[in-house]
Amino acid sequence: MGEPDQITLLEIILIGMLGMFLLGFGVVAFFIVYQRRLLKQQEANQQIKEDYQKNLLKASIESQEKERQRIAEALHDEVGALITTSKLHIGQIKPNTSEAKMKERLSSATDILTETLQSVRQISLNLKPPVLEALGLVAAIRSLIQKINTSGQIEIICNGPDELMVPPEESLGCYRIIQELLQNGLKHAKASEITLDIQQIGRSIQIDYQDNGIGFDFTKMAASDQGLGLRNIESRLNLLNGTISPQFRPGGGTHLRIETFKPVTSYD
Amino acid sequence: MIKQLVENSTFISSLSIIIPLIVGLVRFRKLSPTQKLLSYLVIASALTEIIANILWYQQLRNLEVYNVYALINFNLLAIILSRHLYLTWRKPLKLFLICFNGYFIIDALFFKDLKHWEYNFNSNLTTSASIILIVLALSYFHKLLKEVRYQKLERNSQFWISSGIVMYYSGTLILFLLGNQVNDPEYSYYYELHFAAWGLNSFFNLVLNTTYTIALWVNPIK
Repeated sequence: MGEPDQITLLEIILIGMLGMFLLGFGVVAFFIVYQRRLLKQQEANQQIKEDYQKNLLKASIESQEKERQRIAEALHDEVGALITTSKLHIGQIKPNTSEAKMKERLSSATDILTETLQSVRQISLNLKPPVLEALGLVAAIRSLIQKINTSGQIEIICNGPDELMVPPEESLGCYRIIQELLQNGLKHAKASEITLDIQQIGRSIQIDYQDNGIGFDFTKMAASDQGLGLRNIESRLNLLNGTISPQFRPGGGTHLRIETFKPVTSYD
Repeated sequence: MIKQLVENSTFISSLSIIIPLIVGLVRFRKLSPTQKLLSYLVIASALTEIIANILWYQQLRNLEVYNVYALINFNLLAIILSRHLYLTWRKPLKLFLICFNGYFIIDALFFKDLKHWEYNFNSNLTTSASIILIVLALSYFHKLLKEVRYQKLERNSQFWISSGIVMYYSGTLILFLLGNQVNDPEYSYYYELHFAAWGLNSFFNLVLNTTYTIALWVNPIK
């Protein structure tokens, strides 16, 4: 009776030892495979993040260059041309020029210089709207909308509070985002109506943009090299610690939701 | 023939500790705190093997050397594993280790029949220590998976140590649990059982020493 028991013991111990070892080995192997998969996923996510940051940086630089080019063109074509003309008028005033002619030249030069001053003011206005500093973000948005609405091409409706808690240094970023949204709506969406709903939710500001235009594939556009305007918005939102996301809009068109988090927290 | 093969593999397995020992000693200055603790363990293991082999060749029983080493080995491994454990686990583990050591020392010194104990394998100590070490190593794996940033495992010495522990102690758990039966010469299948079981243990030990060597070889991620 004793021997079969001992054979069983021998079998139990040997098979058990081998089985347990293989189980331990299996656990380690499973862990390696699973962790490697997670690592790969992490690296892929990291790559996406890096690409996204690169794109944002590129968009930011492109936007800056575009703005510089616009200012350079305005200075060269408008201000430069006006100053050159006024210089010509002044240059024609000689010691032997008659008083009547001199007055005429001076008057022309003064008119041109006044026009130059207006041009410079306009350039400065485009760089930073004075109403933004004087009356705040909501007033600046309403002023911008009013200007666009007067063209008669489109109707923009803005719903929101009279005041928003946005620090002055970040209100320009919010203003530019809305400006870019409206410009995109005018240029690409072929919309006849745009609605902006602005809300202060807790510490963040939520902007809902809706138009009745042709709409676009947000994900495709965000990933592509085109859509500079969208990347420009993302780049600015990045600084404001905000997000932009497409929303479902029944009946077509575009519905985008923008949320900024950073502005209000700096009031803490 | 089988007896010779097993004896040879046991001897090779005992000798295999030399490789991590050399790696540990050569790279000692460059080692991380975890690797330094492992190198102390390897030194202790090498000393045990030397003493045990001397006793064996002098026809003296050497299990008591392994019993003392088992306690040192368990404590050092528990310290190594606890270095990377969840913070909340560390204090209870420290307390548990003190109680665990206290129990086995008091039990061995005052309650065990020393004459009897000397000739027996301390199965309770090694089995419970094995289970605790497996649990600690698995909890380290769990923690690794929960980390925010994953890292390459090849350069992680703690991972190699934990892998070695999981494989070795899982494989030898049954051997430690039934250790006294395996070492009991009264069984008629004693030789087959004894040599096969300890032959397998030699193989597992070889795997463990390999993981120790890698753990001491890799440059830890800073």
